[in-house]
Amino acid sequence: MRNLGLSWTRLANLVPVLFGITLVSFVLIRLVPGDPATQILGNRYTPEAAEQIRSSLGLNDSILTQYGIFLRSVFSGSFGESYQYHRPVGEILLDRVGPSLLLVAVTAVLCTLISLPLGVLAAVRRGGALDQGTRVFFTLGYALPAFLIGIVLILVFGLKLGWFPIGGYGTGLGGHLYHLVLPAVTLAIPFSTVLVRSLRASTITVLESDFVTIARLKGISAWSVLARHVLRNAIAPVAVVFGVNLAFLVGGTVVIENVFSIPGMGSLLVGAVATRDYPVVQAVSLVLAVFVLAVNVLTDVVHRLLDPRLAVAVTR
Amino acid sequence: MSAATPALGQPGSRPDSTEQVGTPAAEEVVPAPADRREPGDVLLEVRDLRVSIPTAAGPVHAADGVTLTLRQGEVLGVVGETGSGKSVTCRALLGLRPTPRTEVSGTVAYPGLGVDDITGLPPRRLRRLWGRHVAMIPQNPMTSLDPVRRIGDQVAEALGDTVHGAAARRERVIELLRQVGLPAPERRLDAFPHQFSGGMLQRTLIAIAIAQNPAMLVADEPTTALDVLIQDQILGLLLSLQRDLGTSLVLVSHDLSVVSQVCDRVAVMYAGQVVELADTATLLSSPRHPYTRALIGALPGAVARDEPLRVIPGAPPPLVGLGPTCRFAARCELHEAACDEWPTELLPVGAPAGSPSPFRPALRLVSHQSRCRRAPDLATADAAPPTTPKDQGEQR
Repeated sequence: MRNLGLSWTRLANLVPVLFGITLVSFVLIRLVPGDPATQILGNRYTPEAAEQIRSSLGLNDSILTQYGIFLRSVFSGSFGESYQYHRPVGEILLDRVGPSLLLVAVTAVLCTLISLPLGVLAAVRRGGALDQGTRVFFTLGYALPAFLIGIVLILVFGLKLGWFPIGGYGTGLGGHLYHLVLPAVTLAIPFSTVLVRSLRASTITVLESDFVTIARLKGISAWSVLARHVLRNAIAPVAVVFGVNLAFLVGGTVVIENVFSIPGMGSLLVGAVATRDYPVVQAVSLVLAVFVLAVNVLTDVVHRLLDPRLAVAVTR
Repeated sequence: MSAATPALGQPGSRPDSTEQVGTPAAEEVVPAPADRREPGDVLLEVRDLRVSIPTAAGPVHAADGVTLTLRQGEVLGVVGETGSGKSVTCRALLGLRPTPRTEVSGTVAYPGLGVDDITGLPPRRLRRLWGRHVAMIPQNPMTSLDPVRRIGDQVAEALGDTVHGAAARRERVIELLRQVGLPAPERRLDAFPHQFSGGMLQRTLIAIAIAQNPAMLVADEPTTALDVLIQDQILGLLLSLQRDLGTSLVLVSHDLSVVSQVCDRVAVMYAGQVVELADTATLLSSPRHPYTRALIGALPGAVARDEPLRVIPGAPPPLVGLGPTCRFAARCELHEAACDEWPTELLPVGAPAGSPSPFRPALRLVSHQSRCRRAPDLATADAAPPTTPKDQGEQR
């Protein structure tokens, strides 16, 4: 544990945060105007039927009782029963969490593969063609909204060229990955912009530092200097940027899953909000929040592994 | 300071210097076998070195026509105020430029190493020189080691291909660290730089610099960032290593008193130019440039305790758009109208060349040179009364 730079207090601090998140997700969805009973009944609506549904869903109980029931359902893992699907939300989540996680993972790997070489090379050949080219391309990609990029990619690579499927999730890992190419690229373009720029900046700072001059003066090859001294020092600060943005990325998947009809948590959430499916909204918000926290903790671990100064500060 | 003890380093006796550098391949730019290290041989020859750094205000001429030579085994001091270009100049001796766009002209030759000129060389070719033949000891030890790599690895990296095999390399690293006076080196190989004090870091950096027993070390204000107590230790270490290894040393400093204690020769820099160059004893006893004279006069020991310290009025000019005439004119007490017409040049003055070094009699020194138009007047000035600093003060 300590080797990873984690302390028990750091982890214990997460417990109240998680409680806070359950409270916020519980309260927020109830603040949204609209009524689950109205949504469920649709044009069969009568005030009596609505009242009956509300009382059977427990929506007439006091808000504290409702919160208590919600908490208990969280601990039991069922997260309550969906108003819409009439199944325990936990089961629905199990089906939906995989595609979302895979999408985030593929996007993160793609981003790393794109930004690591581009960011470092742009810094090493500062002002060169590659530096200018990536700057223009990624600034453009960052300025456009993700769903627009998604639609353009669907039009060009999906419909016109027919290289990739334009939606759905496929079967088997290969099929999943194949279907995730376009959505992952869509998410990776704006995400990589931030990474390329910050990696370029941090690499330039490291290249100009005294220890790189001293390393060069040892007579070792430029490649060795880059690999042994520049990279790790340049990546450490970017790892933090990566973590923060990965958390945002999780939010970004909500829209993209809808554009590409991926059966993930994002599309589940959008549907659930529309139908005021309180248990589903609460559960999905909670799972997304836990994911963001996990990313944050992981970011800390990675940062500490990359920079020995931080690791020592914890163990002492 | 012990470093001033003469003759300890009779530079003829260096048994290991030839075998250290005897293995380079024939096609290399830097033919190492030429590195015979005869004391007194010219190791480095700098001619008309100009380093200009482009800035928004125009090119900054950090070095503007620097010409000097360095002999094998010699300690050359380079003194000057902050902004005099001494640091940039000395880094240019290694082929380092402050920014990638900096323009360097003139010649920096290493006749002792068979290298004609390094000013145009790309880093790829300079690498053959670095570590093996020339090395640098930096100004700030705190920022000069990679914070994420272990000390032992960073020293081992400097060994190049002089030592083979993990165990042998480890042994050599320990030996180097012991040589620079790092206590219990075998237990510190796995330490990270942030666990070291400034002095320990600078010792480590000296170990890195001498790892391949280079012919020349450039020490760029090596003690400026250290505690006063540590400063003397580090300087003493540097000089004893220099003597033992027969290395040439370029010691950059803004402290004339330090330089005068340990250097064979001193180059005084002002506004990007060498204004006076002489062996240390000559420079101190009969300076031939008003700036040097003022610097000597400003040393704390130059005045009695109850008198205020002397300072040089004014500040050095910015290094942008300076003409060929004397750059010290605005602050000079000997300045006359004719000085503003006279393009300065580093010209021989005073004592003949070839006199022995006061510290190492085996070394024959080059001539005393000054950029001052009125250098002969300064000669008569110090010929008349014995030049105690007090007398100098009264002349003003």
